[in-house]
Amino acid sequence: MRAETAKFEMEAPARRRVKTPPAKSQRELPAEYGETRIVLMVRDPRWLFAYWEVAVEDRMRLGLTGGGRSSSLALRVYDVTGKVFDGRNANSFFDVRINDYAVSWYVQTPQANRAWAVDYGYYNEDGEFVTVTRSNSAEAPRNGVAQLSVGSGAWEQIHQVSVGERPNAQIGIAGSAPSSESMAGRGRQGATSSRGPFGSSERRLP
Amino acid sequence: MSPKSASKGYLALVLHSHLPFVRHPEYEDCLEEDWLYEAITETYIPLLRVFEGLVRDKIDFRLTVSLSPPLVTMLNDALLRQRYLRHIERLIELAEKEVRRTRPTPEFHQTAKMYLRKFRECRHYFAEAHHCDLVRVFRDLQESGHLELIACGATHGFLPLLNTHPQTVRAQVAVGAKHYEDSFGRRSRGMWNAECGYFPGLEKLLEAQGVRFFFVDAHGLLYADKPPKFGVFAPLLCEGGVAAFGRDVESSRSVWSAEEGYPGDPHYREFYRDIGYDLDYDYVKPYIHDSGLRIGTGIKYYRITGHRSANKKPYNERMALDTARRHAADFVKSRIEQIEYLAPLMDRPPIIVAPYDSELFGHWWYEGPQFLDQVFRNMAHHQDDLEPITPSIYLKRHPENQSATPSLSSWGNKGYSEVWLEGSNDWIYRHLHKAAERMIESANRFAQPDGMQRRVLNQMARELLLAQSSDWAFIMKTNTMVEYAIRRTKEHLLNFNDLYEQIQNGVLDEVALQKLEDKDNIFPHIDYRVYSDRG
Repeated sequence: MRAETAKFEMEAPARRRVKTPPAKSQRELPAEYGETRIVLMVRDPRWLFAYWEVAVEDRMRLGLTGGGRSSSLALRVYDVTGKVFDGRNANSFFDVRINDYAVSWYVQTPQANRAWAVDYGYYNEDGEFVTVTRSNSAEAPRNGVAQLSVGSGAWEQIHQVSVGERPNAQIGIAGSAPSSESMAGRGRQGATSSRGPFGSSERRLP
Repeated sequence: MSPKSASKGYLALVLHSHLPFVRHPEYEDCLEEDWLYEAITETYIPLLRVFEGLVRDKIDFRLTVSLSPPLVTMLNDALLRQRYLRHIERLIELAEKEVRRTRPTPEFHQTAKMYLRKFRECRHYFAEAHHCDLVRVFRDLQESGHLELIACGATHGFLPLLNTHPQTVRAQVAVGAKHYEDSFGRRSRGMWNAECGYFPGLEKLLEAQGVRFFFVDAHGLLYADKPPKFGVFAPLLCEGGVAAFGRDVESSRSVWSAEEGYPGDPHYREFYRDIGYDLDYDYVKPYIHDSGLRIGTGIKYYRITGHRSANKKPYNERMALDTARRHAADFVKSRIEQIEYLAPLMDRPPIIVAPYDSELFGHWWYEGPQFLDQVFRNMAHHQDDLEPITPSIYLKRHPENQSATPSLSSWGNKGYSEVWLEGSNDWIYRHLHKAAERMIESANRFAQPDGMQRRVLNQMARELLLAQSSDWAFIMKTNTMVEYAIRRTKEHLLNFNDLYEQIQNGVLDEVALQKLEDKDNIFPHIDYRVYSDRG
């Protein structure tokens, strides 16, 4: 467990099963909203998340369920950086094959700091991609310093301190060398203990 | 406190205080309400006592504290106040028994007496000294110029993932800003965005609420569209002149990091070993959950030594406080070294921005409040080198700053949105977004509602906001109390859907509505039109 989860921690891990009485109803959220749409979200500079729904009428009409086209489904991922995307003006695109029971997908992109849009669709008999529904556009962030200027010496030094690499810095109790055993006793996982991309356990930039 | 000539550099400590809205009048003993009670005993009261002690001793200190609307609402709630009193009284009773039980074991007896003393002090502080009104104490410390209280989004929604519907981001910001104004009698100059979540363009929504500054993680600033000349040691001005302050990595790591952080020192109190789990069932039964479930009571006797239970050494308060004092001195010394390194490279005094969750201090890091106390007392001896400051004062002294737009970022693990968008929790977004769309549609459609319609629409807004708390997705990911987080997400969305259906069909169920209004009673003055395109 990490420090930041501690405020929600109150049970011994082994006894986590019991909880407050369940709500009177165990109703579920709707599985579908009866519409055809795809929504694109950004997870980080290189990963997108798309979720979709195809209304049952559309699935029947297009033969998207059970045999038929179910094996030819794909997402077409367009790089729409700097464009008002109209379906034809993408800078480039790539396809990701998906299965017919998926309702969402994580897509890795080749480059950070680009804008993306995604079509859900299928390949027809001629091998052409046919769009069923198109997403919003979404901008993924930079994963490094903007390359607009070359830093001066002072800039380099300030930047180094900004990412937590001040020369000769002694951080926290590093000097007093607590045993790794004592940290394990706290139950925190080193790999997830740092919050930002410059954390001590992962010194790489994102 | 009068303005003085600038120091070589500044330290802006920021304590973000937030708990999700948990209020269950329908249960006599609700496990999750303990989040609030534990935080009151271990964090909020100890911090307030530290601040008041500094004021009393005329220590010149300043820091920024954000108080989220759910937390303020819970601290002001009559039922929860009454339940807190019951909670602390039970703890006092347990501690009295512990003082008797530990008499033959002096190494534990001292600590038992410490708990009894602290719990009694808490009860006195809460009930007698401040008439159950802790928010008032925060407000008074703002009036005296020591704290700068800042607003927080309505329910701590993680804004980068709500931005598929910008109106819902606007509502989080606007309802949060309004709640602050109602609570503290003025507009907030700053805003804490949940999890430091930022996306380019957010500044426009903040500016519309009169917000002049916010915080981003270090890479949010460093990866701005123009490289920041002074790194994270000066703010950037976004469009509209709203300032973005960047988190300092080094001071953050010295507290948060599992490997190097102060809280891992073996003299500090261990979080996990608690008599709620360790002692005879019959003995602790009156002090654990009604169902008989063993839970932490807050009475813990060990320090962080050895992960095998047998190796743990007894806690020693005096040694722990000595350690906190030593760490505070080290913290101040390291900040001064940072300033000394940076100052010659800059044309203005560097500002080190150090934001933390308030609940880290006291609840997780038991000695954290004493650490902060010592940090400010220590800094008072080094005022020419390192001055405590808040962003408002900084911006008054240094209004000219570089213009640039920060990069999408958060302070979550890996720095972006992955904590709140991954396998365990990604299913919530199709429902949250659908509800957002329906809320916007309804707000546009019902421009002239009758009394009942208005109540339904306002309750829809409350249910949507409650479903959007970043806490639910976070808990699903971190695997503690998962069932509760799932249940709350579904419950608010189902409530929302019911109300939406009613307003669509024109068949309104006033009894059911009244029940929801009584239960989910946050934001009593909300106006759903915040979601309309004209809002």
